[in-house]
Amino acid sequence: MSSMVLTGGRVIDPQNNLDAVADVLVQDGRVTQVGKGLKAKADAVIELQPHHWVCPGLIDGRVNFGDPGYSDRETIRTGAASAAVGGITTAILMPTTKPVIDNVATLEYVWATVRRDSAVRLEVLAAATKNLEGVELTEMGKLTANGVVGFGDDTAPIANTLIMRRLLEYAQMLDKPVVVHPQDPYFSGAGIMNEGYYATLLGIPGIPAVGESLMIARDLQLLKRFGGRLHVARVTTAESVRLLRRAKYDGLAVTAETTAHHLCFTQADMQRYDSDFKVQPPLRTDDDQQALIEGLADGTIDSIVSDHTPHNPDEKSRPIDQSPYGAIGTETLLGALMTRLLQDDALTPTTLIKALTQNPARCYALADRGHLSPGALADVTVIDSTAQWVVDPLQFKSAARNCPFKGQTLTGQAVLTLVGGAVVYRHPTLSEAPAPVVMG
Amino acid sequence: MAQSKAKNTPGAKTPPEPSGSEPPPLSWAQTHLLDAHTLTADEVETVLAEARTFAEILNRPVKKVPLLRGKVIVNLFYENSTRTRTSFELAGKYLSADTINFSVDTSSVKKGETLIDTAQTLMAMGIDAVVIRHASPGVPYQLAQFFGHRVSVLNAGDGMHEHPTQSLLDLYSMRQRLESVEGRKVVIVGDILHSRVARSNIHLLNKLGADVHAVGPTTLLPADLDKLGCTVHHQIEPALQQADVVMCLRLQLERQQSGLIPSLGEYARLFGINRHRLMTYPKPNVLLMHPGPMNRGVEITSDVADDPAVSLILNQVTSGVAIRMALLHLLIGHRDMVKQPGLDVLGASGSPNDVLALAEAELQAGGAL
Repeated sequence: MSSMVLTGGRVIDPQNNLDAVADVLVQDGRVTQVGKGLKAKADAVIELQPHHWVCPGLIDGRVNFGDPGYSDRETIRTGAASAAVGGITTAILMPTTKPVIDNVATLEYVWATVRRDSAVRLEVLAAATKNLEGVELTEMGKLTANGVVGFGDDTAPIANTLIMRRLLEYAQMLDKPVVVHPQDPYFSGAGIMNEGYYATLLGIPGIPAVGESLMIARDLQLLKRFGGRLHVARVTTAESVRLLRRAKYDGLAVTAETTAHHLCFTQADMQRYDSDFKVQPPLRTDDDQQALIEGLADGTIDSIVSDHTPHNPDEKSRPIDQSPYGAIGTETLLGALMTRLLQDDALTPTTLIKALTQNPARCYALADRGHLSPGALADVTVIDSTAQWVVDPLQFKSAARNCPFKGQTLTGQAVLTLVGGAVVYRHPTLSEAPAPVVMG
Repeated sequence: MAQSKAKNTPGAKTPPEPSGSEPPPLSWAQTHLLDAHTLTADEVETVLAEARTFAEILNRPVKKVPLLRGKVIVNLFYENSTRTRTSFELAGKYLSADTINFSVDTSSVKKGETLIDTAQTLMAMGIDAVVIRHASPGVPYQLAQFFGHRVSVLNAGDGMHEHPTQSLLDLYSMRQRLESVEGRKVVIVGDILHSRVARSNIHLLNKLGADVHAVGPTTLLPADLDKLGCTVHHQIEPALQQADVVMCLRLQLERQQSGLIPSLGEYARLFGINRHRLMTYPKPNVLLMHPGPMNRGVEITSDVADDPAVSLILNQVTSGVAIRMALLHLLIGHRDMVKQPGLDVLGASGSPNDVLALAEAELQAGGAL
């Protein structure tokens, strides 16, 4: 197979300011043309309707696929398969594995596993400090030469201000972003959920929201003084959004992300003591959530991640203060966000798709993805914008089940996922097509 | 009483709804007692009314009644406890249930058995109720979710969350001295942040219309405490003004080590309840309470703690047994009643009068069980 055309769908390509019914022609793994009447140019044709949105393949900036070290939770094979179902064509692996991805040997193992097992493109965020301890820098130059997209200690905050300065300086030399998890480690202590009324009511130790914004304030000051590129992971509070808005206004080289679950749930959802809602940072208030949505609308927050964090049921069924943090989200990312953000017009489809394609590609300098310009990788996600479906974690391709969206009815679903022009996922409702190359 | 028995459907797992034209004797439809927060005022009154009945039985030379004969109650305590565990154990025994203390120290829990596995094991043994105390908040909910209607769960304290039976017995003790708590000023003093007793009491007292105040060091009051329904103070004297009830909380020694207070001595100076404070600011007939165990000389001084004119502390302990008898009876007394052989005499409506009449019958028959 060398060419395929997706015809009759609504093409949403934010980077090219395109939102119209059009055909998309892909040839030899690349997008070659977007326009009218391209049907005759391809060997294979996929007929779509205007309620099918044809978008650049989604880029999920934050996933944990368990390999190496936690294959009881997830593997690169199952994680990538779940990403494909979710319409995600590129996902960025976090370094929190066992061993940590803080050296070239571990990275090589990950690349080998990815080449062998992954249905989608996986990129790697390498650890910024050895074993995520916040003390010694990793061999960032060697890791960069081996293809990582940036550096960050995932859920471990860089507590030491001097180390944070060195990171920004050193990564600047390599032109890579430093990704920070903004949480003051002293403040969070034994905390489990957002400090406030619900934590008090439920008797669950609290994590104050200011612990996030004060770390962002520190890192923005360092960025201003020492330069570099900063990506703030998992922004969740209104005050953080205010600080970032100001920093962007001032022209600092900062990007920011939030997560699907912080846009869909609040601290009130902890009332059932269901540890699938125990995430890091904790779910916040309605006001915080509203500020996140405003931040997305005005571009203060660039991207939305699934923060896919698998755990096995034994770990998650422990009491709330003993169970691990995290929820899975690759397969619900799109449906959850479309249901939450589009149904009441909180965001336009273009803004949402931008936060899932163009913007994360820019954060990590993935120039060949996140858009449908001629020459771009033929990573395409087709979304049925009207499909209603009930979330049943038992049906997931992911090996994990810790999904806070379980039982919810969502509107919007990926029905076709192309990676480099190859079909890696196809929903049964989308009939007649070239023989699918199912991987994973 | 024979006719009241007919109201119970054989095999019904939950207490029956009152039917027919008879006034409903009880307002109770719960399988579990998980918190005070979601109890209704009617349910609270039902528990207190039942407890009054049982308190009379406790004054008798022979305290045993056969209401829960054949029932099995497990005390599953993952944290140390003297009064709560003993109180539940006695309550079960006075009701003729078989009570088992599942000691976490010597059980498979030490071998790494999970909570749900332990629960599964207990359920397979055919128990009727679990009294659970655990250091983690929400564990009673997890157990209740697992058991459904098959086994009743009673929360005997979960982390910093709730201790609903303590708040019920506190309320019962207050009502023995005060006609009603409505409009009465109740001041809770101390480490509210870590106190499940405080949380349950705030919920319950609010339901019954009390004027709830909380006072303690700023570092030991949780965020948004006022939204739970109480007036928050940081100075002891204004907080105590015109109080009807003063409830002291235990101050854990660890709070000093974790930097929440500078020293126990300073705490005693700023927030300790002593005779001077108790006689100067509150109303003349003020009542003093403490859930125990007390740190004498820290949060409370002996001269007031041991003064029967003001202190309700020993009444609280006695009330505890009656309250727990009432709860056990309400939760599991009505379950599968008809299936139990040899208990035909029992009314299934569970009205407090039935209970008394039954006890009378037992005594007259010379039937010490």
